[in-house]
Amino acid sequence: MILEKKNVSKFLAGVLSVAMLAGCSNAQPSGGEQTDGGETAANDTPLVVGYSPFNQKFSPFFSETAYDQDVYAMTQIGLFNSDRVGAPVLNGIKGETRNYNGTDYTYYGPADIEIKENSDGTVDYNITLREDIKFSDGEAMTIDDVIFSMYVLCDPSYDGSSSLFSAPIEGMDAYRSDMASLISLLFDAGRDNTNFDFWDEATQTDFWTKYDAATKGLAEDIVAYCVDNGYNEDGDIQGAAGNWGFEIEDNTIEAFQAALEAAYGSDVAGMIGTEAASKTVEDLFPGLEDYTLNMITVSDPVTSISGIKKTGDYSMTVHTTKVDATAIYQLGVSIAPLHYYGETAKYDYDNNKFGFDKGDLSHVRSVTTQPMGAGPYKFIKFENKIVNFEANDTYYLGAPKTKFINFQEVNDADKLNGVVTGTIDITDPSFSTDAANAIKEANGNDDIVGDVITTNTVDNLGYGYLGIDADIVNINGEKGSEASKNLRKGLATVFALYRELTVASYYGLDRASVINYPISNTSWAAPQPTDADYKVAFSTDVDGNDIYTSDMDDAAKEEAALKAALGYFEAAGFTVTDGKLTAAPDGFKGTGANSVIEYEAWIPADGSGDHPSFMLLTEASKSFAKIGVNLIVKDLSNSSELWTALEANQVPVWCAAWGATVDPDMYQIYFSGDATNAPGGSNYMYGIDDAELNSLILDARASIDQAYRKTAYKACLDIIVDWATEIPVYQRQNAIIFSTQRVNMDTVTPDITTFYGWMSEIEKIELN
Amino acid sequence: MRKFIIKRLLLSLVILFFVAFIIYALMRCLPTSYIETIARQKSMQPGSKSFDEWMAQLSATYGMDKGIIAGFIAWLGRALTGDFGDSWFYVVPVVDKFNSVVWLSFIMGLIAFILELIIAIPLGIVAATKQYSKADYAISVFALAGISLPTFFFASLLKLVFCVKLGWFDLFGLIGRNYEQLSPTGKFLDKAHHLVLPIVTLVVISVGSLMRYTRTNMLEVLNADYIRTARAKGLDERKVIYHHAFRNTLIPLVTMIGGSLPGLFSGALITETLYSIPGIGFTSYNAMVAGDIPFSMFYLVFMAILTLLGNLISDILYAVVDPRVRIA
Repeated sequence: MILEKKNVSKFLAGVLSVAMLAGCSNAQPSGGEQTDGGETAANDTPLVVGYSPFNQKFSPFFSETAYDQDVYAMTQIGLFNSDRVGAPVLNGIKGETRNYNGTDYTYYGPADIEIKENSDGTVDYNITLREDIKFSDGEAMTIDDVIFSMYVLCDPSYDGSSSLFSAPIEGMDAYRSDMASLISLLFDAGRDNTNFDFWDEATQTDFWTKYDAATKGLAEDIVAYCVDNGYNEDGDIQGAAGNWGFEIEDNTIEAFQAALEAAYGSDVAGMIGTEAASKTVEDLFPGLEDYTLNMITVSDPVTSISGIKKTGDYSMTVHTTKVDATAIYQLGVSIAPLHYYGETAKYDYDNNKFGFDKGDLSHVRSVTTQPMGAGPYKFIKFENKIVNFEANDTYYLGAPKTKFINFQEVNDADKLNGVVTGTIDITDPSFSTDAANAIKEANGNDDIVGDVITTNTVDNLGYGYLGIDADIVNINGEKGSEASKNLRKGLATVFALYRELTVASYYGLDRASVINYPISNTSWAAPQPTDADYKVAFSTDVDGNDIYTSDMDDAAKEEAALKAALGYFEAAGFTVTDGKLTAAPDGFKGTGANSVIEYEAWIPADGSGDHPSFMLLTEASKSFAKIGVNLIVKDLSNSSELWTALEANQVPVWCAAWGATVDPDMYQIYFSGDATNAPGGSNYMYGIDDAELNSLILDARASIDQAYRKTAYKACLDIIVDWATEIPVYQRQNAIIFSTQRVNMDTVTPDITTFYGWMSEIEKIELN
Repeated sequence: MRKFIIKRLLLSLVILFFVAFIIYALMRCLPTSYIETIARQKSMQPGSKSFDEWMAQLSATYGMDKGIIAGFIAWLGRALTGDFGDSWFYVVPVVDKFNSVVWLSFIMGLIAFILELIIAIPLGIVAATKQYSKADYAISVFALAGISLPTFFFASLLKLVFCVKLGWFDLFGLIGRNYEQLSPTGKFLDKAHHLVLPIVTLVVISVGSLMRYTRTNMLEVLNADYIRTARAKGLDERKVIYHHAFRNTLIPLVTMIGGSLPGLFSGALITETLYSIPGIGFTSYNAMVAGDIPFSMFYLVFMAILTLLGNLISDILYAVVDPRVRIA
């Protein structure tokens, strides 16, 4: 067979021309497909919103992801709403007018809440509900629905994401703890207990036999491990126990058992989980769940929360035992319908029955996937990756103008093109430089607002940071000493130098900004650059002088930063010769094989360097090498390793981001605990332990005066920056894009902010 | 034949048991388990219990506190009664979730498969009978191009050309925005309209290999002695190819078709993700990545059953189609 060249070249030419034509074509895509099946009336066309995947937990009580929450939020109303800066609107029935950015806006809510501080330090929240609100199935809303919703959130078996139970409401602790697990009751009663009202003697004896067998097995397991690995001689139980952190008097297994029992008590799972060398709960205490999951109501069960009082068909009072600025946010519950989520037959306020059996939320859970409430839209179904909503004509702020709304699951990569081609109308793509450029190209006018796409940007509720664990990076174990702080400040100064470079390259400076205090710019407590005492983080040397001048180029800045860092290291006790570190002070544990200071920096960048702070760490590492500090950048392919290691205090330096809450309360992260209060849940990460900071945090929490709190929080932020355990890096923006062609932009919520999104006035939105 | 089938079925049960055990053990050994993620999230809430307490409570609820073997036996016990549990990731019972997504993938796979057969087999025969001609080269190039294109690349290309530039199809999704307002026929056509691009993607990617397989087998058969005899006998060329040669080519083809039964149910993960089709591929991927053990166990064991069944059907069909083969 002879290939005829002429024919082949003609063929190739043909293919190439077709390819070029395909590329050149720029026919305007038609919006939406009109398939067989008839016309749809203009106002029946659904508005389609592109979303990330849903978990189908569409319950106001049990949802977990932000997207699921948006779905139920379409069907529910909260007890009160927030305004554009996140402050609660407490006079919702008549409405409150507040100014934002030069315009007066009026905010409404279903209720009025009056906060009354009493002379004895307690606070009353008097709630009055509107009397004309109906749920979407026609039933009227009364205060019973509010009380029901609150009791669900306070139930001992509630495991969702609300923390209403942590608000200092009178009677909350008694209500939640009267149902205790069998194991804790048995343990508290003791081995010699003779009161068999709640269990029989056989159960008690059986339990203690099993418990003793478990502690014995555990003690033997630990000793065997120590002996097998050569740490202790055979029979040296005391030594083995000592190695494990238990000091015991007698060299017997029984003494070791007693020490374990004293340390852990009824927390068998925790004891075995933490201390065992090779055995598991299954091995040592089979059937433990019969004791831990068996909830028993103790004598005189508490059937109601004394601080929640109904005062009328449409009014109630919540009484807290102390002033807590964050309590008002916890009280903003979604008002879920009693007759749908609970059982009306089981509601009798005067007899302490609140719509369900205490401890049994199965009826509430059974409707998790089908939310219903008094919100602007009714949930119809979730099918084929689309949530269908229909307008609720009885919505108290007016019947929504758009009859149908669909929430459609979309890949992030398709969000932008989806709006351009007409498959979706509104969505939230991740706002990178590429996305911004694509939007500008689609608009054709080099702007993110144009004839095809209108973009709204808001600050993200949270910020990115670089963390240093004070429990590891310190001198002589004294994490709060001046020397330790100087050590960390030395490191922080070099890190802080590269923040702008990294933010500019990853996000672009019009989509993210460098921040100087560890707090999101969205918070009212965030210091503003226009404030008198606003300082750029880590820009001064050990004597307090500024290290940068405005005429420095990059090389000069690096030199200045390194010089300042060396100054800090010297003040911390290191020896500096010829611009390099040559010796460390006594008691310093961070010396590496080839450098005076050596630390690992962990970054959860999927192993490919895809993280805003990756460039920061690599550049800092190069600079550090010049002065004898070895910063090892560790890129984790599995980001969950970071969290596990942080819990174990194994990470000296790391990069991550915080999601913020509406209230700037700093307890969770920075409060290290005192005689009466437990440390905040995330305090272990930075290891900050400052008495003055603790008392400032408690004071700020206990006041409702925003001006006072702002001053207190500024002082807190100064202390936190002084500890140099957190280098605030970036505050990025989120974007919402609308299709200018299909959505009537005049009807979209004006002045969208982080706290007042486009869905806040969704009843007004219309399609063109 | 009957003894053969029974022996194979019994053997399959044993294999299935071990496969299920291996899958379960692997899922349990995942570095971050589903409940660890949940416990961590919940322990970070203000005022909540500690991480260890949440782990202990969730371990007991989800049955992860037992060892691997005990856990597996527990799962097996429930599975044999038909109770596969609730999916941890999707909240609803595993079987319900599976049922709601698998039929779409199956239909997509079936249509794609039939189209592949219709296109690949005739093309393969033509390429073999006209070896080294222009037609042969053109078909081979087309086949190779199809095999070499990565799914995500080809799908993105199709979307760019047909959705963004030409606007003929929606960019993604199974149904359009006006779906609810359409009549039943309209709804059916809407879905069909949205499935065109995904099926085209699937067909183009896999048609190449089937075509080349057909061509190779056909060539082998055409070089056999009995074909030369048939030609020597003076038979019409068409009868030689379509009556004699094709039948022999069919033998390996039919067995291959029998063995691709599990493939119809496994869904096409990448295609489904790119076109946002709610099929089993995407659903099972998300479940497995999250460490959802009940769903993953059910799905993977189901696939194992289908694979074993597919192999058995292949073997039986081989005996049926080829009279030279007798099953001992």
